[in-house]
Amino acid sequence: MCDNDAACETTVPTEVMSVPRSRWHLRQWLDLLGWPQPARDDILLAVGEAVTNAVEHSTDTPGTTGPGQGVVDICARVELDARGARRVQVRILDHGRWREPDTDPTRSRFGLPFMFELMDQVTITRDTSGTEVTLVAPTVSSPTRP
Amino acid sequence: MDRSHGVSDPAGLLAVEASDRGAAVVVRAHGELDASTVEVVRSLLWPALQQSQAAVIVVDLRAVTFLAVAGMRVLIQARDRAAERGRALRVVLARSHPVVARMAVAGQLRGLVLVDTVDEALWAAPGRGQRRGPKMEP
Repeated sequence: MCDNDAACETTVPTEVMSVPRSRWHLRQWLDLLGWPQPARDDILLAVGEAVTNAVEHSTDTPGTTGPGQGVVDICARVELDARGARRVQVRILDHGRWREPDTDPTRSRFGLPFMFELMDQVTITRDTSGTEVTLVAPTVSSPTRP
Repeated sequence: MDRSHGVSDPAGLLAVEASDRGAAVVVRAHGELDASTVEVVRSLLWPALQQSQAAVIVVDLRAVTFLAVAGMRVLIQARDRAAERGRALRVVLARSHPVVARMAVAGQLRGLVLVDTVDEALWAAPGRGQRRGPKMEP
Protein backbone atom coordinates (compact mmCIF):
# COMPACT_ATOMS: atom_id res chain seq x y z
CA MET A 1 0.00 0.00 0.00
CA CYS A 2 0.96 3.67 -0.24
CA ASP A 3 2.23 4.91 3.12
CA ASN A 4 3.52 8.20 1.77
CA ASP A 5 1.94 11.38 3.17
CA ALA A 6 2.25 13.26 -0.08
CA ALA A 7 1.52 10.84 -2.88
CA CYS A 8 -0.01 7.50 -3.81
CA GLU A 9 0.72 5.79 -7.09
CA THR A 10 -0.61 2.53 -8.41
CA THR A 11 -0.83 0.78 -11.77
CA VAL A 12 -3.69 -1.60 -12.48
CA PRO A 13 -4.52 -3.80 -15.48
CA THR A 14 -7.37 -2.81 -17.81
CA GLU A 15 -9.83 -5.30 -16.36
CA VAL A 16 -13.02 -4.65 -14.51
CA MET A 17 -11.69 -5.84 -11.12
CA SER A 18 -9.29 -2.90 -11.23
CA VAL A 19 -12.26 -0.66 -10.48
CA PRO A 20 -12.79 -1.94 -6.91
CA ARG A 21 -9.09 -2.71 -6.34
CA SER A 22 -7.93 0.81 -7.18
CA ARG A 23 -10.74 2.19 -5.03
CA TRP A 24 -9.63 0.15 -2.01
CA HIS A 25 -6.02 1.20 -2.58
CA LEU A 26 -6.88 4.90 -2.70
CA ARG A 27 -9.28 4.60 0.23
CA GLN A 28 -6.55 3.10 2.38
CA TRP A 29 -4.23 6.01 1.55
CA LEU A 30 -6.89 8.67 2.20
CA ASP A 31 -7.72 7.00 5.52
CA LEU A 32 -4.02 7.04 6.42
CA LEU A 33 -4.08 10.79 5.80
CA GLY A 34 -7.21 11.08 7.93
CA TRP A 35 -9.06 12.64 5.01
CA PRO A 36 -12.49 13.79 6.21
CA GLN A 37 -15.87 12.56 5.02
CA PRO A 38 -17.74 13.09 2.74
CA ALA A 39 -14.75 14.51 0.83
CA ARG A 40 -13.04 11.11 0.84
CA ASP A 41 -15.99 9.30 -0.71
CA ASP A 42 -16.41 12.02 -3.35
CA ILE A 43 -12.80 11.44 -4.44
CA LEU A 44 -13.36 7.67 -4.54
CA LEU A 45 -16.53 8.11 -6.60
CA ALA A 46 -14.92 10.46 -9.13
CA VAL A 47 -11.75 8.38 -9.52
CA GLY A 48 -13.89 5.26 -9.81
CA GLU A 49 -15.74 6.73 -12.79
CA ALA A 50 -12.49 7.70 -14.49
CA VAL A 51 -10.98 4.23 -13.93
CA THR A 52 -14.22 2.61 -15.14
CA ASN A 53 -14.05 4.65 -18.35
CA ALA A 54 -10.39 3.76 -18.86
CA VAL A 55 -11.08 0.05 -18.39
CA GLU A 56 -14.19 0.04 -20.59
CA HIS A 57 -12.57 1.96 -23.42
CA SER A 58 -9.49 -0.18 -23.52
CA THR A 59 -11.61 -3.29 -23.84
CA ASP A 60 -13.63 -1.64 -26.61
CA THR A 61 -10.70 -0.94 -28.90
CA PRO A 62 -10.07 -4.09 -30.93
CA GLY A 63 -6.55 -4.71 -32.04
CA THR A 64 -4.93 -2.38 -29.53
CA THR A 65 -5.48 -3.28 -25.91
CA GLY A 66 -7.85 -5.85 -24.51
CA PRO A 67 -8.85 -7.08 -21.08
CA GLY A 68 -5.75 -7.47 -18.95
CA GLN A 69 -3.40 -6.39 -21.73
CA GLY A 70 -3.18 -2.67 -20.99
CA VAL A 71 -2.69 -0.77 -17.78
CA VAL A 72 -4.12 2.29 -16.08
CA ASP A 73 -1.81 4.48 -13.99
CA ILE A 74 -3.35 6.28 -11.03
CA CYS A 75 -1.29 9.01 -9.38
CA ALA A 76 -2.76 10.86 -6.42
CA ARG A 77 -1.09 13.63 -4.46
CA VAL A 78 -1.88 16.16 -1.81
CA GLU A 79 -1.33 19.77 -2.78
CA LEU A 80 -1.89 23.15 -1.19
CA ASP A 81 -4.09 25.75 -2.81
CA ALA A 82 -3.21 29.48 -2.81
CA ARG A 83 -4.59 29.87 0.72
CA GLY A 84 -2.74 26.91 2.14
CA ALA A 85 -5.74 24.56 2.31
CA ARG A 86 -5.14 20.93 1.41
CA ARG A 87 -6.68 19.22 -1.54
CA VAL A 88 -6.13 16.04 -3.52
CA GLN A 89 -5.24 15.90 -7.18
CA VAL A 90 -5.54 12.58 -8.99
CA ARG A 91 -4.30 11.78 -12.48
CA ILE A 92 -5.68 8.72 -14.27
CA LEU A 93 -3.75 7.72 -17.37
CA ASP A 94 -4.69 5.05 -19.84
CA HIS A 95 -3.10 4.03 -23.05
CA GLY A 96 -6.19 3.34 -25.11
CA ARG A 97 -8.58 5.57 -26.93
CA TRP A 98 -11.46 7.22 -25.09
CA ARG A 99 -14.95 6.95 -26.40
CA GLU A 100 -16.49 10.39 -26.94
CA PRO A 101 -18.92 11.09 -24.10
CA ASP A 102 -22.03 11.24 -26.28
CA THR A 103 -21.51 8.34 -28.66
CA ASP A 104 -22.68 5.52 -26.41
CA PRO A 105 -26.12 6.09 -24.90
CA THR A 106 -25.63 3.54 -22.16
CA ARG A 107 -22.23 4.34 -20.79
CA SER A 108 -19.85 7.26 -20.74
CA ARG A 109 -22.33 10.09 -20.80
CA PHE A 110 -23.37 9.24 -17.26
CA GLY A 111 -19.93 9.11 -15.69
CA LEU A 112 -18.50 12.31 -17.11
CA PRO A 113 -21.04 14.90 -15.89
CA PHE A 114 -20.95 13.09 -12.56
CA MET A 115 -17.19 13.71 -12.24
CA PHE A 116 -17.79 17.40 -12.91
CA GLU A 117 -20.38 17.47 -10.11
CA LEU A 118 -17.97 15.96 -7.60
CA MET A 119 -14.72 17.74 -8.42
CA ASP A 120 -13.52 21.35 -8.58
CA GLN A 121 -11.62 20.73 -11.81
CA VAL A 122 -11.77 17.97 -14.41
CA THR A 123 -9.29 18.05 -17.27
CA ILE A 124 -9.25 15.46 -20.03
CA THR A 125 -6.35 15.30 -22.45
CA ARG A 126 -6.40 12.86 -25.31
CA ASP A 127 -3.59 12.12 -27.71
CA THR A 128 -2.38 9.19 -29.75
CA SER A 129 -0.67 7.59 -26.74
CA GLY A 130 -3.81 7.56 -24.61
CA THR A 131 -5.98 9.63 -22.31
CA GLU A 132 -5.10 11.53 -19.17
CA VAL A 133 -7.83 12.63 -16.77
CA THR A 134 -6.85 15.06 -14.03
CA LEU A 135 -9.24 15.51 -11.14
CA VAL A 136 -8.82 18.24 -8.53
CA ALA A 137 -11.02 17.70 -5.49
CA PRO A 138 -12.42 20.54 -3.39
CA THR A 139 -10.16 21.67 -0.54
CA VAL A 140 -10.73 20.36 2.97
CA SER A 141 -10.29 22.59 5.99
CA SER A 142 -8.00 20.67 8.32
CA PRO A 143 -7.86 16.92 7.96
CA THR A 144 -7.22 15.32 11.30
CA ARG A 145 -4.88 12.42 11.65
CA PRO A 146 -6.32 9.23 13.08
CA MET B 1 -45.81 -17.92 -1.68
CA ASP B 2 -42.42 -16.34 -1.19
CA ARG B 3 -39.72 -17.87 -3.37
CA SER B 4 -36.19 -16.52 -3.02
CA HIS B 5 -32.93 -17.13 -4.78
CA GLY B 6 -29.62 -15.37 -4.61
CA VAL B 7 -26.38 -14.92 -6.49
CA SER B 8 -23.08 -13.11 -5.95
CA ASP B 9 -20.07 -12.09 -8.04
CA PRO B 10 -16.95 -14.35 -8.04
CA ALA B 11 -15.03 -11.91 -5.82
CA GLY B 12 -17.85 -11.77 -3.28
CA LEU B 13 -18.25 -7.99 -3.40
CA LEU B 14 -21.98 -8.00 -3.98
CA ALA B 15 -24.72 -10.44 -3.05
CA VAL B 16 -28.12 -10.06 -4.66
CA GLU B 17 -31.29 -11.89 -3.67
CA ALA B 18 -34.60 -11.90 -5.50
CA SER B 19 -37.80 -12.70 -3.67
CA ASP B 20 -40.88 -13.42 -5.79
CA ARG B 21 -44.03 -12.41 -3.95
CA GLY B 22 -46.41 -12.90 -6.84
CA ALA B 23 -47.64 -9.35 -7.37
CA ALA B 24 -44.15 -8.00 -6.68
CA VAL B 25 -40.53 -9.09 -6.95
CA VAL B 26 -38.16 -7.64 -4.38
CA VAL B 27 -34.47 -7.61 -5.36
CA ARG B 28 -32.08 -6.84 -2.50
CA ALA B 29 -28.40 -6.06 -2.96
CA HIS B 30 -25.69 -6.13 -0.26
CA GLY B 31 -22.14 -4.90 -0.77
CA GLU B 32 -20.34 -2.82 -3.38
CA LEU B 33 -22.15 -2.02 -6.62
CA ASP B 34 -19.82 -0.85 -9.36
CA ALA B 35 -18.82 -1.86 -12.90
CA SER B 36 -17.33 -5.11 -11.57
CA THR B 37 -20.57 -6.28 -9.95
CA VAL B 38 -23.29 -4.71 -12.08
CA GLU B 39 -23.79 -7.96 -14.04
CA VAL B 40 -24.88 -9.69 -10.83
CA VAL B 41 -27.75 -7.23 -10.48
CA ARG B 42 -28.62 -7.59 -14.15
CA SER B 43 -28.62 -11.41 -13.89
CA LEU B 44 -31.48 -11.30 -11.37
CA LEU B 45 -33.25 -8.16 -12.48
CA TRP B 46 -33.65 -9.01 -16.17
CA PRO B 47 -35.41 -12.37 -15.59
CA ALA B 48 -37.62 -10.69 -12.98
CA LEU B 49 -38.63 -8.11 -15.59
CA GLN B 50 -39.15 -10.63 -18.36
CA GLN B 51 -40.45 -13.79 -16.78
CA SER B 52 -42.22 -12.99 -13.53
CA GLN B 53 -45.86 -12.04 -13.32
CA ALA B 54 -45.10 -9.18 -10.96
CA ALA B 55 -46.59 -5.76 -11.62
CA VAL B 56 -43.96 -4.13 -9.44
CA ILE B 57 -40.24 -4.73 -9.26
CA VAL B 58 -38.63 -3.36 -6.12
CA VAL B 59 -34.85 -2.92 -5.97
CA ASP B 60 -33.64 -2.42 -2.41
CA LEU B 61 -30.19 -0.80 -2.31
CA ARG B 62 -30.11 0.23 1.34
CA ALA B 63 -27.41 -2.35 2.13
CA VAL B 64 -25.16 -1.22 -0.73
CA THR B 65 -22.04 0.28 0.82
CA PHE B 66 -20.56 1.70 -2.38
CA LEU B 67 -22.69 2.76 -5.32
CA ALA B 68 -21.17 3.86 -8.62
CA VAL B 69 -22.82 5.42 -11.65
CA ALA B 70 -22.72 1.99 -13.35
CA GLY B 71 -25.18 0.78 -10.71
CA MET B 72 -27.58 3.65 -11.31
CA ARG B 73 -27.28 3.12 -15.04
CA VAL B 74 -28.52 -0.45 -14.80
CA LEU B 75 -31.51 0.76 -12.79
CA ILE B 76 -32.41 3.32 -15.43
CA GLN B 77 -32.17 0.61 -18.11
CA ALA B 78 -34.34 -1.64 -15.93
CA ARG B 79 -36.88 1.16 -15.46
CA ASP B 80 -37.17 1.49 -19.26
CA ARG B 81 -37.58 -2.27 -19.68
CA ALA B 82 -40.21 -2.34 -16.95
CA ALA B 83 -42.12 0.50 -18.60
CA GLU B 84 -42.07 -1.32 -21.95
CA ARG B 85 -43.77 -4.25 -20.24
CA GLY B 86 -46.31 -2.18 -18.34
CA ARG B 87 -44.60 -2.76 -15.02
CA ALA B 88 -43.33 -0.38 -12.37
CA LEU B 89 -39.76 -0.32 -11.06
CA ARG B 90 -39.16 1.26 -7.67
CA VAL B 91 -35.81 1.74 -5.99
CA VAL B 92 -35.40 1.82 -2.22
CA LEU B 93 -32.61 4.33 -1.74
CA ALA B 94 -32.28 7.64 0.13
CA ARG B 95 -32.62 10.71 -2.07
CA SER B 96 -29.81 12.21 0.01
CA HIS B 97 -27.37 9.47 -1.09
CA PRO B 98 -24.34 11.24 -2.65
CA VAL B 99 -24.69 9.48 -6.00
CA VAL B 100 -28.44 10.04 -6.18
CA ALA B 101 -28.14 13.70 -5.19
CA ARG B 102 -25.40 14.40 -7.76
CA MET B 103 -27.17 12.56 -10.55
CA ALA B 104 -30.36 14.46 -9.75
CA VAL B 105 -28.50 17.78 -10.09
CA ALA B 106 -27.05 16.61 -13.41
CA GLY B 107 -30.57 15.66 -14.61
CA GLN B 108 -29.61 12.00 -14.95
CA LEU B 109 -32.22 10.24 -12.85
CA ARG B 110 -34.80 10.41 -15.64
CA GLY B 111 -37.87 9.82 -13.56
CA LEU B 112 -36.44 6.88 -11.64
CA VAL B 113 -38.86 6.29 -8.74
CA LEU B 114 -37.11 6.35 -5.36
CA VAL B 115 -38.79 5.37 -2.13
CA ASP B 116 -37.58 5.12 1.47
CA THR B 117 -38.81 1.64 2.40
CA VAL B 118 -39.79 -1.64 0.75
CA ASP B 119 -43.24 -1.28 2.34
CA GLU B 120 -43.68 2.07 0.66
CA ALA B 121 -42.72 0.52 -2.68
CA LEU B 122 -45.20 -2.34 -2.17
CA TRP B 123 -47.93 -0.14 -0.82
CA ALA B 124 -47.82 1.94 -3.97
CA ALA B 125 -48.11 -1.19 -6.10
CA PRO B 126 -50.97 -1.00 -8.58
CA GLY B 127 -53.58 -3.76 -8.54
CA ARG B 128 -52.69 -6.71 -10.71
CA GLY B 129 -55.72 -6.01 -12.90
CA GLN B 130 -54.16 -2.73 -14.00
CA ARG B 131 -51.13 -4.42 -15.44
CA ARG B 132 -50.87 -5.02 -19.10
CA GLY B 133 -49.79 -8.48 -20.16
CA PRO B 134 -46.06 -9.10 -20.58
CA LYS B 135 -44.75 -8.31 -24.03
CA MET B 136 -42.43 -10.54 -25.98
CA GLU B 137 -38.83 -9.52 -26.59
CA PRO B 138 -38.62 -7.71 -29.92
